[in-house]
Amino acid sequence: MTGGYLVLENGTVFDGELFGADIEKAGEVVFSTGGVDGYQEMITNPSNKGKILVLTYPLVGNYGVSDQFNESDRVHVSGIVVCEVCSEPSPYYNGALLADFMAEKGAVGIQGVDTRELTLLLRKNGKMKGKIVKEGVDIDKVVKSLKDEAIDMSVKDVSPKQVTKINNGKEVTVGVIDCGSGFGFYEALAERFNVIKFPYDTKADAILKEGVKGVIVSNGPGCPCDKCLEPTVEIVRELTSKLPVMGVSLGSEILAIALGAKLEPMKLGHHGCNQPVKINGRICMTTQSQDYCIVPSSVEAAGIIITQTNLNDEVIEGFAHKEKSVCGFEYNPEGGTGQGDTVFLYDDFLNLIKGASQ
Amino acid sequence: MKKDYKKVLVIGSGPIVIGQAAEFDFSGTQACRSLREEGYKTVLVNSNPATIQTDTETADAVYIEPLNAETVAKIIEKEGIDGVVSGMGGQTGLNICSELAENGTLDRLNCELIGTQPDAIAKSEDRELFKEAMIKIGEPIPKSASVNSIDEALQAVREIGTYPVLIRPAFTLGGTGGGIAYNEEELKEITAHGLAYSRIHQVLIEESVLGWKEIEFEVMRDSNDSCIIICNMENIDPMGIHTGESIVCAPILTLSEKDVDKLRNSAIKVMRELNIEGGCNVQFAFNPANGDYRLIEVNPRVSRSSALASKATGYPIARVSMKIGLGYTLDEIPNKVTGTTMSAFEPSVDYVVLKIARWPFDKFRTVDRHLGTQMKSTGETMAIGRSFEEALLKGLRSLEIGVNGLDRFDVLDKDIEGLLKNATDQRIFVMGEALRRGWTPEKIAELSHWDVFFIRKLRNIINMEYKIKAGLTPEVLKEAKLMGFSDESIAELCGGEPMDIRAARKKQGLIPVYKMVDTCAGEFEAKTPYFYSTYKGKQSESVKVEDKKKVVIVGGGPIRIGQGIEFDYCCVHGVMALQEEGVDAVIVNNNPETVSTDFDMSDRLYFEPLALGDVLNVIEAEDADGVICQYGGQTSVNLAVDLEKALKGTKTKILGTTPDDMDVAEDRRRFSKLMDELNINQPASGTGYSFEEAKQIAEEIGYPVIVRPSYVLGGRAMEIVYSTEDLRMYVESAVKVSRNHPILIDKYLTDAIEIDVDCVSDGEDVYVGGILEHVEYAGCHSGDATMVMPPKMIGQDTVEEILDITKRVALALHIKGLMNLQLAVKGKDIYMIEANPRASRTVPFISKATGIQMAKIATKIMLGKKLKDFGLTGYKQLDHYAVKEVVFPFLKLPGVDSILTPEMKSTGEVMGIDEDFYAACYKAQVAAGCNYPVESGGVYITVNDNDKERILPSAQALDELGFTIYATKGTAKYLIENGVPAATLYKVSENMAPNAMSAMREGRIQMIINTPTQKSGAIRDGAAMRRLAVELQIPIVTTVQGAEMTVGAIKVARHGNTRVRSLTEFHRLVN
Repeated sequence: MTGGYLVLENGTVFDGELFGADIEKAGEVVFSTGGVDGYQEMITNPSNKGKILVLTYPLVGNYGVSDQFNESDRVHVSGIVVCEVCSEPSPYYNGALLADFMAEKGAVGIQGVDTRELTLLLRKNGKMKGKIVKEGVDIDKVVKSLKDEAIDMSVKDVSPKQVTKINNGKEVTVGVIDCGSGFGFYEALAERFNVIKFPYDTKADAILKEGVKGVIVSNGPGCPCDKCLEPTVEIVRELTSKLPVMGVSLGSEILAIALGAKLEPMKLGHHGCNQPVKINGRICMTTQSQDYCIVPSSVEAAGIIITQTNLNDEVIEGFAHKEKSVCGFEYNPEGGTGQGDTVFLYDDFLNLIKGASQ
Repeated sequence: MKKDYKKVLVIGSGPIVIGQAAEFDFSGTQACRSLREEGYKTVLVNSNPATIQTDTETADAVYIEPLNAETVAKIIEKEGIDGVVSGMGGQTGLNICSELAENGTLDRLNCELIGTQPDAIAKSEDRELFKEAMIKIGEPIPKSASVNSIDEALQAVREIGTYPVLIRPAFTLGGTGGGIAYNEEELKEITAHGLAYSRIHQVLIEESVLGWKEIEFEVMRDSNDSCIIICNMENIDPMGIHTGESIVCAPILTLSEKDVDKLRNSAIKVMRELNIEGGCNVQFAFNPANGDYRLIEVNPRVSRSSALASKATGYPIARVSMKIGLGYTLDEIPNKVTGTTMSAFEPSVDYVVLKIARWPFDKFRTVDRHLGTQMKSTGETMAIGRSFEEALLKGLRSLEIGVNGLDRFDVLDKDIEGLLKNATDQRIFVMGEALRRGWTPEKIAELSHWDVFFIRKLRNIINMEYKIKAGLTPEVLKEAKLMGFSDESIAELCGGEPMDIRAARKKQGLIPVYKMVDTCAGEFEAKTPYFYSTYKGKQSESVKVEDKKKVVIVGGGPIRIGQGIEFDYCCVHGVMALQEEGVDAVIVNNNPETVSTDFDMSDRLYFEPLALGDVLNVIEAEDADGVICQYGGQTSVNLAVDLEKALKGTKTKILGTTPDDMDVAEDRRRFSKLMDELNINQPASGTGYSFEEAKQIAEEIGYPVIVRPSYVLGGRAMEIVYSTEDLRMYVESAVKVSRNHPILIDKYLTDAIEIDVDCVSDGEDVYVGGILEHVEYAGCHSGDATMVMPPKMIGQDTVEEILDITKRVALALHIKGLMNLQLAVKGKDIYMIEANPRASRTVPFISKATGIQMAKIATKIMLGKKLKDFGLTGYKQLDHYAVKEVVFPFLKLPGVDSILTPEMKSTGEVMGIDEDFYAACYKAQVAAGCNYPVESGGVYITVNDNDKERILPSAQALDELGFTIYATKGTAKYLIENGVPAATLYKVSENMAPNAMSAMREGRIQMIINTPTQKSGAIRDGAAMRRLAVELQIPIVTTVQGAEMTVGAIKVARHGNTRVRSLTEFHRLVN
């Protein structure tokens, strides 16, 4: 293994050993408190595009990698930062090495980092840009270049290019505006709906023409205010007055903007599988990758009501519209593996559709 | 929403036994604090005086009374209690609650159960009901059948289809009486055993999932049906080894998110179906080869695992469970760790936690060391690291078994395979040895059913050993420290001195950093003062408080025989006293079960091994002003001299009695010299460097003599020998005598009364907290002796003389703090046996009996206060009685002789306290679980010639009480001659009918009074009878005094009118 660094835009440098692909890459450095398991799901999830994920659990890759855990067929993160990457995983999933997988998929990682120190730093300073680089580079130069480095977190690259119809033999068909979702999301939907997958910029008419009974705006990477999403916001706004719409993660933020609410970036965001949200009096654990949140004062004017907040910091996690059949959640209800506490929210949406069409 | 209760009762778990240890002191104490911060009037009952829980400060009223339904009912009635907490007293507490609910007592007294309700308890504990519930919700359980007889067991196996099968008795602790049967014969034997142990005479015969992974979840649920997982854990040892015995890792390291989620959801589903509110432990068997799983067990209460999970994550499970019981929901309970978030979250950890059990096999050399479904360990240690290797090496050196890590292990090549296949406490060391000898991790994994993932980690450690041996370059030293090697083991591997390694690595800048255990992996700012060390990192999070005095208390490590919960009690009292004096109290300890390692007990808690290097690191990181080594038992005392040496020239002082004075007390020569100067008798003694020398000394002194190796911990390998032949056998089999390892020989004082004295001294005055008289004769380890306070047999003049001796010794040793003396009284003579310049096992007992908290006072004296400041001096006579009775692990450990010897064998203790002496005896015996016959039955008396006359009053009393007396030939003859009818039973060796053993088997004997003849061989003769008595649970009394107490207690039991009284009511009597 070769030595290398994680360089942060504020000039902080962590040294370690590089693994995975022989490249240098910049990204938005965020930490995730999950990570003993689920690392493969995280790095292959299109929502995490452009991120350098700091996994707070010190041992990563313990059970190897296996096709069954892919959320897509690519590694979307810019890189990962770990304390120790496993070179001799448990054999039961017949897995390959995480490092080899990353090399094959063109992603870089750095190990030997005091990830707790880094996490505490990010907690204090908020997320920052950073770059994983090889030993011997001019660090000052890297820091300087990071200031202007544009991290590509665009939905454009991860949204499908064409319409795909998936008939699961279900009664109700929903359309999905796919902003960059993973396999787990579709598995959860398949248990309840027939699904038609649309590119993020598919016109409302084209969607309605397919005869869908409701629309789900999916998760995806980056900022909901990104220029490339402006058409999507318009499309969603149009759809909300025509049929039930549900937004999850990035999709819920697009939906909130479409309804007239304001969003603001969060200092740190929520990254991890144990974000507590209260739903109908019961606490549910949610898996989040949330970087933006709804400004509470903008809710009233947008005609939406807050249905869920995060127990830790009271950030809005769920909303509905006062009149329209519309709901949004700042996380994917299926959780990391499709078995999350909140997967029933899709059933609720199914019932909402059924109620609306009666 | 908080419920209204006038008064709430918390039931403790009683004496420390295998399967139920200090974890319930921790959880019960947390529960009481949780109740009181909500403003509830709280009452606590527990029979164990050695706990923090039974401190009068823990609750509004504290009862030290036997734990049974009858006594608890009396307390409920007397105190007007309307809520009883069901889940904090382990299986003992749960069983009492079930019984009170079933027999209608709770209804009659208008009392509710708080926490898990009777139907939920029944559903999780009764195998049939549990099975039904799981079938209903479609959760897989092993194929099984509950049976009440051996025939039914055979039928059940036919239905399951194949051996092996597991046998689990219903309603027992720690799997007592369970086992694995590979064939019909074993099935019959284990089933018979299990049926006998089960409270409801029921065992479960179950499909085997041996070799599968054992996975545990700690779940919390509230009345809103919110369910959260506090912690998941992977047992590294596979199914088939009790989780209390397994090496356990938190969190799960080797399962995918999909599989963890699958089990998580199952655990939550189960909680909901069983309608459990509060904390609960769910155990699964998981087959990683195909993803199959089975639900194994649900514990609807806090447990050993929940204590571990609390310490592993920082989430206070008992506290939150208690609040849920009171009606709060998870989102209403603040998270004390962060101070800003609520308890409704799933903790994330960013470290590896390992729990390793501590077994008593060093004490019980004859016991089968194999591990199975029945617990044999007495305690455990927990270690935290940033890598598996680091956590493991820390965990191993925390065990206090004389290893610094994955040390070399003596094993023959031919034995390795068997030892890998059939687990013993030594398996991990055998694995290390196998790797050193070139075995592949894959082969070792196949034999042991460990995941090869973990074995490869062991191999990393072995590979590092080779690197160190090849040459300790700065790079290698760095790598070794990063992996978690201690200075001690590096020194051992490269032939240096630990302190030199320490100096070298410090020069290289290799010092550990301390990371915080914060429940959230750094996501939120946390205030927990709870830390662990690692060399993997640069940033330390433990903050030095500059403007306060800081004192480090060295803890006691894992609970083992000879070093129990009493030392944790002392450490906690040390903490409290320091805080009362405005000093920051810092704890270093590694026992996850105890109160001292509760994160909000001390100002800062360091979860670390108690090896010299680790403790020094903490002292340096803290820049401590003082260190207390008196409270952690032998563990901390052993560090005193080395710590003082290492700290020379720094500001840190060893507080209290100086290590040099401690050494005078520990070093036989120096101590003997002092006793001579003080004109205090000591039993004649000598030191032998060979068998010949030992023989000569023994002959000069005169047999019997007590012999032991020069280096002793808790009476290990100590024996009474009666003849040259015995001595030869001892020297040949038990110890190796050499120039460097002499044996010590003491005159054994026959028929002497042994006395324990505990005192506090400030160097000027001495306060004697209590004088305890042993019921057993000198020669029985003081930890095993039944004790009476105040003394009954010795006269006032002897008491005066003891007080005088105590004062003189304390002042001569310049004691600043606590001291314990062991004395023997023979006729008019008093002999000094030993002086222990530290907190002793009996300190909490005496403090509970008198209400004077000796450990706290001693701490303040160490800080410079005087006894005068507390108005204490001299000695105060009690006007009630406190009797200490002990519990033994004989049932759990087949192969141990139950005879009491100089080697300690008991695991825990209870206290009986009453104004009436015999009522105190009765309470102590009931609390210790001795089931003496009350109404009728047979008593078998066999006493030595000296005791025949003295046993007569007890025999007469038993006869008058209507018991049938059986006796050996000689004893029977004597009894009959003196008007006590007695039937003769023959010893087995006499080959005549009827013999004692068959009478026992036939159920004709309910109690045995046996005072052994004190001569060679006599002890061995009774072994078979004693073993049978243990198995049939027939109590044995071994002294005349004990017989007299028992007869008194039986009379008390007949009257059935003992009263319950809280400790403060007794303490009022004293003042």
